[in-house]
Amino acid sequence: MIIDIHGHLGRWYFPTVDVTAMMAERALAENGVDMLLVSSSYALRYDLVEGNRRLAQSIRGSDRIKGYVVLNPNYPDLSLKEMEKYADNPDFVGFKIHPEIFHHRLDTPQGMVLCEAIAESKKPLLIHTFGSSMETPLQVVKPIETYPSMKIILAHSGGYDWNLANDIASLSPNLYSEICCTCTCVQKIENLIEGFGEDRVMFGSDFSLFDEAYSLGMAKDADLTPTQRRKLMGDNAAKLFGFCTSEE
Amino acid sequence: MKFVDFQASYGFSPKKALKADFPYVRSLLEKSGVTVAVLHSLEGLYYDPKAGNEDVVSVCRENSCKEITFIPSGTFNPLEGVERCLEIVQRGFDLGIRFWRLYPEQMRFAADHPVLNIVLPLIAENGGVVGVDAVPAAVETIVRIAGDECPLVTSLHYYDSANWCLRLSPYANVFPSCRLLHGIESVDYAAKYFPNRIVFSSDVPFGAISSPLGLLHPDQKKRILYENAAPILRRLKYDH
Repeated sequence: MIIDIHGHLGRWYFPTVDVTAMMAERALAENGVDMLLVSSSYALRYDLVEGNRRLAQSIRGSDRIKGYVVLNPNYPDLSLKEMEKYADNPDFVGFKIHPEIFHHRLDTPQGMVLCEAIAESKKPLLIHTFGSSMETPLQVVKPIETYPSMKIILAHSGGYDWNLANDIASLSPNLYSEICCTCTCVQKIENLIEGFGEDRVMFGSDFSLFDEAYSLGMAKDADLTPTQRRKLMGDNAAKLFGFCTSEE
Repeated sequence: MKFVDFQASYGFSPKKALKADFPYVRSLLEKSGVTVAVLHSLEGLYYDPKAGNEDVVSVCRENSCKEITFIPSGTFNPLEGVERCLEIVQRGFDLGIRFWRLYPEQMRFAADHPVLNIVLPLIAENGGVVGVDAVPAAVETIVRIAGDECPLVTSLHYYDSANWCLRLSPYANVFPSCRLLHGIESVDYAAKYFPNRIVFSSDVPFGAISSPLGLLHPDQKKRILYENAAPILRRLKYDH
């Protein structure tokens, strides 16, 4: 079972296609991916309320595409209302925050308000992380120490600076790593599995910003045991998000 | 199937703790079925271009075999001055280096560095090929200095497609690699602007070979993995 935990629906500012849920389903079939977890690019780049609404409409009732509710720490009250709005919607399985786009780190007072609510919800947060100070994985240290039950997935695992993600891997069993990046160094996956352990590293692609085949190629070339590969590609995500695993 | 990878590096990786020794890099290339690899020395990039060039020539000579041909890639650093750059390039040609990779971002020199005005035409006149990964404006500056006859292999980033498709496609000697064209259908987009000129590079061991490979449709593979590279290989005097 392959679960891609990092995807998007909507437009990007590059010469690429505006991917709809139907197109995403087709891409999943072509790439042999069973499930895709997405956030709305409209919500990430512009208006979280309208973006989350559009995503809810697009993925309603889909078995293969599930959503993240986008939260924007610049608007903590609005974000809390969004959390409440989709709390019982089975199409949404977690939350997404992008500190670089929002120009707002997670460990600010407004960010911590959201962290408290996320911890209470028991659903995971997928947070974009890369190398700059606005995107650094280190911004999850304070939230993890304050709310130990909070489940956090480091999208990109710091990008080219995955050593920063590895440096904090032991802080919490609720901290997870996701692999995708323009940097497709296979040793990144191997190093992250050493740092986080084989149960806390997950496959993602950044679809539709990336073709899923790009990240699939990176995973294919990594030197992994069959068990590590199975866990990376889907079982860890299935367990975290409460989907059926490949053994079931 | 013939499979040309224009960017494989070996040596020691000082900026990140990664395996990059030649046997490891070779194993990755062989596992993926690469049959021709243009090999770059990390010593040449990070420390001494002259020593790196000499080493990469011996590594390529000692390790090329029926299954895989290694083509040495040389480099020089304009910051070292024109006299040394000319000496390095002349020595490189004597050793058989015809592919020359520039590292403006890593070595921190400008694409219009005056040393390039002297050295790049020399490389072009001697039948060389230039490789460079940089922003499109810098690549355009370098291709102008190198001239129309000198093929230039570069990796263009998908994110900057709207820039390079217009800026670089008029230059018939620019051969973009599909390495960073990771957007959906972006290889097709690039092929519209660079018909029969998209080639393959992986940046192994810093990039996975299967990542850019996974972006290619079955009907594109033969062209991108070999046919489009053929004119460059001929200029490098490697008729694979």
